[in-house]
Amino acid sequence: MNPFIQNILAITALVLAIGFLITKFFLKKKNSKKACGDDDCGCH
Amino acid sequence: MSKQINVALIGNPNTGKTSVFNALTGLNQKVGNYPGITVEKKEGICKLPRGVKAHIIDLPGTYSLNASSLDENVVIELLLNKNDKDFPDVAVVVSDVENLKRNLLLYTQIKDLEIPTILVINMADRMDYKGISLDLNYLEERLKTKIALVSTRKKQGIDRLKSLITNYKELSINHCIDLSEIDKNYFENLKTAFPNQLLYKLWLVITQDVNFGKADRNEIDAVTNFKTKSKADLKRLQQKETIKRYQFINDVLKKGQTIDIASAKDLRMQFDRIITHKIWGYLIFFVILLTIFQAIYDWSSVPMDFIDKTFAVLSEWTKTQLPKGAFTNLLAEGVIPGLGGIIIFIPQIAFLFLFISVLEESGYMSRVVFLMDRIMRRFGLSGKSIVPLISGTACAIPAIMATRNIESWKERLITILVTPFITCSARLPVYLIIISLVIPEGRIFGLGYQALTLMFLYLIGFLAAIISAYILNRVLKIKSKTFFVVEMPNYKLPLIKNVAITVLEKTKAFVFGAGKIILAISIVLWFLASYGPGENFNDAETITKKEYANQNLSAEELHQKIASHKLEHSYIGLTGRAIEPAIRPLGYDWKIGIAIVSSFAAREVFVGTLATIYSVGSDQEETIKNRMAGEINPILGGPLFNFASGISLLLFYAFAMQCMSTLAVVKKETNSWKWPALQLIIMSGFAYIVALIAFQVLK
Amino acid sequence: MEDNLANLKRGERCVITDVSSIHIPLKLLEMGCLPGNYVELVQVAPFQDPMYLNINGTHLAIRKETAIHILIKKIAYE
Repeated sequence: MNPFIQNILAITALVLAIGFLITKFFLKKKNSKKACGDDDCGCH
Repeated sequence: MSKQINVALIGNPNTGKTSVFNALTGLNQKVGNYPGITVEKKEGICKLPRGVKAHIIDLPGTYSLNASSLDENVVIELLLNKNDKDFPDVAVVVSDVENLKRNLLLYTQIKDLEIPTILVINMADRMDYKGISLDLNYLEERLKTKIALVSTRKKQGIDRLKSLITNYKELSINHCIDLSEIDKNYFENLKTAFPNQLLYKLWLVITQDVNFGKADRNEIDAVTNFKTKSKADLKRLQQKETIKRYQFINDVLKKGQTIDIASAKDLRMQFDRIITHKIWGYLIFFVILLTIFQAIYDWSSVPMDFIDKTFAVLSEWTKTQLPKGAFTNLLAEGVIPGLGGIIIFIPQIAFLFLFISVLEESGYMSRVVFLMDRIMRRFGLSGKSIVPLISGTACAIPAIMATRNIESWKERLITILVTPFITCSARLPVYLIIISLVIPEGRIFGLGYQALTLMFLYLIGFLAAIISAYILNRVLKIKSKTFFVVEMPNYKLPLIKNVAITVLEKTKAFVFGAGKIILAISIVLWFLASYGPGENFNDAETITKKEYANQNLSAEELHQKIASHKLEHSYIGLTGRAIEPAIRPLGYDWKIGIAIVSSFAAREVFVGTLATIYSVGSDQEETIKNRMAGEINPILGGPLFNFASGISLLLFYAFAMQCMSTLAVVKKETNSWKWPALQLIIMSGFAYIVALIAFQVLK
Repeated sequence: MEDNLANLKRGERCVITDVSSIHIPLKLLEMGCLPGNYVELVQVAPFQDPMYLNINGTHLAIRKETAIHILIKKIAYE
């Protein structure tokens, strides 16, 4: 296998890894459920 | 596509509902979360006769539709919302033959919602033992339903249940109780105001503080205006309702069930006199905990060593056998050590969940709750906090989710905030590897120094949790009603299938959840460690050769020097250098610094990161441990991992809040960034100070 | 004689007479703590709290602060 293909494969892996990390930590879907802050949100 | 029947499994806790779910779906199930909240959502597919499929949801266990915790809210939210895609075509209420009376309360409530309902009477194998006999025909007639007598232990009755589900359209939807008998005036008025609505549904909407986010808003607002009665009056009506339901149930069971007390045996009370005893109870609990830790430590060390060595060999093999190039290096130095860093935890995680699920399945956990309540309350926690604190030794994430059944918000919040101090399984590999490097192997009173150090680390984690709970209890000004009602279920031999499924699920969740992150980070780290900017990196070979020109280095040694020069000037080396001033006072070099930073994705990344950093450019087949032992402190000389820096690192990992996933779950559970931010700053700040003092004193 | 559940001693039996106090959680009633039912104290944790009860075959633990609101009548073993 020539080095060129190796490089392509390696860079693909890098892009996939970074893409995965970004979607995992930065593109969290926003949830706007009712707040449960200092009060006990009536759940007892 | 054939039509799917939506089935909801509903039942009291401890009725073997999960066993029925497992029997119906086998491994055909998946565990997710309800949107927006971290209540576990278990669903599965069951194949029915004639090619029909049933989509089965295992709803959280509840004693009644009057919700008192987040778990229970899920049940009522689903049952009141016909538009939900999971709204059941048929409800299956699972009851325990020994507690039929109490279990039927929930059944009558579901019936009153006019949903087709099947009654499962589970644990039928216990009937002889308990001297119980049932008149099923009579019960079916009075309860207006079909009954499946099931024993998951003996695999009986599941086929009948399946055929009842298939023919759900034949079930009656008549209700059991007429609410208007409780308070004629009030309920007649309600009926006149909303002639098209189900009376019981209206009543639930009025009395429950549930978030009916998905249900029809207008409908609910209109009903809310009908809250003409005070809270106390409403509660009195609910009490009357409960009494009324029990009257009906007692009446049904008088003829439908006979219990021959003479032949009934109950060992539970005899057992519990000892197991919940003031002295013996605590002693037994302590011995069980000790056994568990010892077992996890002993049993998993062999497979872990094996996995460690296997991956070292595999990495070496890849490097020598595959064609040379960037991708081969990535595999051998990034991916394989990264994978090893995931798989090495599987034995411990599996063992830990094995023990925890056996304790829960057997019914022992409730006894611990009873034993610990008074003690925990001193620290602002609840007896129920003991379950999260124990599961916290596996992972803080499920532990924090397990706080949902604590009814008091203040006790629940404190439990959530202190749980991350408990030594989780992700810290364990970090501890194990550092302990084996810096703590001598000797023994005292037959106990190894290394094992004692490990136990000490668990202990300080627990103490930190308890002490911070005490402080939080004083500081937090939250008014919250507390009440505490815990059922003491009968002791049961855990079903192997249930335990196996739990262990499998949790291990899978770890490998595919944390595992993906660890793998991705390893790949990124490899790139950052293998490439760098400028001549210092690109001309590493010439620079190094020039530097050592006068010394007579062997080719091997020269190769090493070049590799370490490259690493120092790679992207990761430069980053590490930048943060080094902050961590040098703690006794760490920049490589440890990188490992700590990457630990924020997940603590267990620490070992994997060091493995990746150390293996870049190295040709030897080496285990991670040997590589770490060979590292030299660039400034002080001597091994980098010595007693002082090792202890400092252990303490840092014991206290620091280093897990993004935990922070995310805390955010979700408390619905505010305030609490996770507080955890991050206070815990990590405290960890830094303690580690600093430890290193400066010991060095 | 009227009494409350917190005063029950180990091994004693009683019958519940009244649970209408607003301080008793509904959940407790739903689990079978209703007037007319028999109660036996199985075990108490240190400081008499919490209490481990057997109410008509349902085994459960409650705190003392709840138990004082449950009115009972002690009965002798036959």
